Amino acid sequence: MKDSFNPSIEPPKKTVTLVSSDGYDFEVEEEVALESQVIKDGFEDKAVDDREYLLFNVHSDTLELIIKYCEKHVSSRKSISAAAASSSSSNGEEALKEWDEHFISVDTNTLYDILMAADYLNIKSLLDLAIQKVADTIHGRSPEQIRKKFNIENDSIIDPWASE
Amino acid sequence: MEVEGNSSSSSSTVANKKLMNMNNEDRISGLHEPLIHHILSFIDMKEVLQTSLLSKRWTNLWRSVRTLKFHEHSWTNRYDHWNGRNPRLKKNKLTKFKVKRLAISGPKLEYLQLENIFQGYNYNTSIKISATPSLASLKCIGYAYKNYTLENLSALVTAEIETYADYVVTRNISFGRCLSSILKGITNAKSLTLSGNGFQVFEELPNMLERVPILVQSLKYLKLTKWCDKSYIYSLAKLLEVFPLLETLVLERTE
Repeated sequence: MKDSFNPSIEPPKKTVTLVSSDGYDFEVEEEVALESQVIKDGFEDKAVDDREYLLFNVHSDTLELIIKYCEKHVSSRKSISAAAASSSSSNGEEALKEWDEHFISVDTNTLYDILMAADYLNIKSLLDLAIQKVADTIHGRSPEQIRKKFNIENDSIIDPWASE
Repeated sequence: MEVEGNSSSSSSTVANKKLMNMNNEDRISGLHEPLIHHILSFIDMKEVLQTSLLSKRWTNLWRSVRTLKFHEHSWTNRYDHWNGRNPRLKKNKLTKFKVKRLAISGPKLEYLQLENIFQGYNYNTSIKISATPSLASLKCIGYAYKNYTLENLSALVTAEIETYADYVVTRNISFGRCLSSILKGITNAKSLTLSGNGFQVFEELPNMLERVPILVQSLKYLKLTKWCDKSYIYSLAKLLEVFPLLETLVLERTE
């Protein structure tokens, strides 16, 4: 589907500034920032010219990924509902699912950073995506394999499954 | 490191991060309990139980989960990936392994799902669910088990009993008794989804219900699925006597 977005007739986008834990400013569109329930909850209380959020728990590397995710979801939602309105066939949801799958295919540390940030910012769909990824990693693995995968040190006194 | 607004390429920063985190710390164990429970809610009960072996931190985490999904194939080894490697349990023994009694209790359990998709497998199993004061939702899918004992499900709001009876397998057990015992256990439920299948296989079912007087006063919503023949209207009338204060009845037809 062609993108029908035309910047010349849209009013200028309102923006919000997100500040990462290591001090980088990220200017994002308001609707992108509102994907976070935490920002949404605090949004109405803030003055229009003071829409800056200090995210003490989110590193700039992670924040960049989180913003990428939110932007993709905001734009996909628009094109999916536009396709539905014009009743043209669209595989938008399928494509978004694939995009999500690719997005969350990251190394374990990045996965945890995303998981913690999604929890902190309360972005439910992203939290579920990250949690599902961790659950998929546990699925079908023996305790020993899980320990190895997640660097869990076995400090239990007895391991009933260990072969003698 | 350069961070410029929302650049679409993040591969370089991700690579940097990888290098920074070569110390291999165990981050999953450091997650807050609600997050770990969230993870465990996505996996099957057997694998939830296995996590108790990981380390001391994990020993008791599974005890307070809010969601449990019990799937038949967890215990029958059909899709099993790792039990076969345990030298103490020979694979051929496991395939014959059947569960006689399954007792489930949990003070914080809110959602329980029992799934039994293998025809003729473990139909002799007795299920006991007790001491689950927070259980709000119970879902049983697949073939019916022999016995159900549901005790003190005082918080139960929604029950979905999508069990079906295969006549060949279950002719020796009473589907009516099975249904009666489930109904007896859900007397506080407000919403019930029931498979109509059993009513159509066993004509004696309405009489079974008559012999065990049950009243589910709290039930407001009843949905009967797989309802395919209007000649079973007598069964339906008998069943409705169990729910005197019902407000909504949904019959879902199947061809």
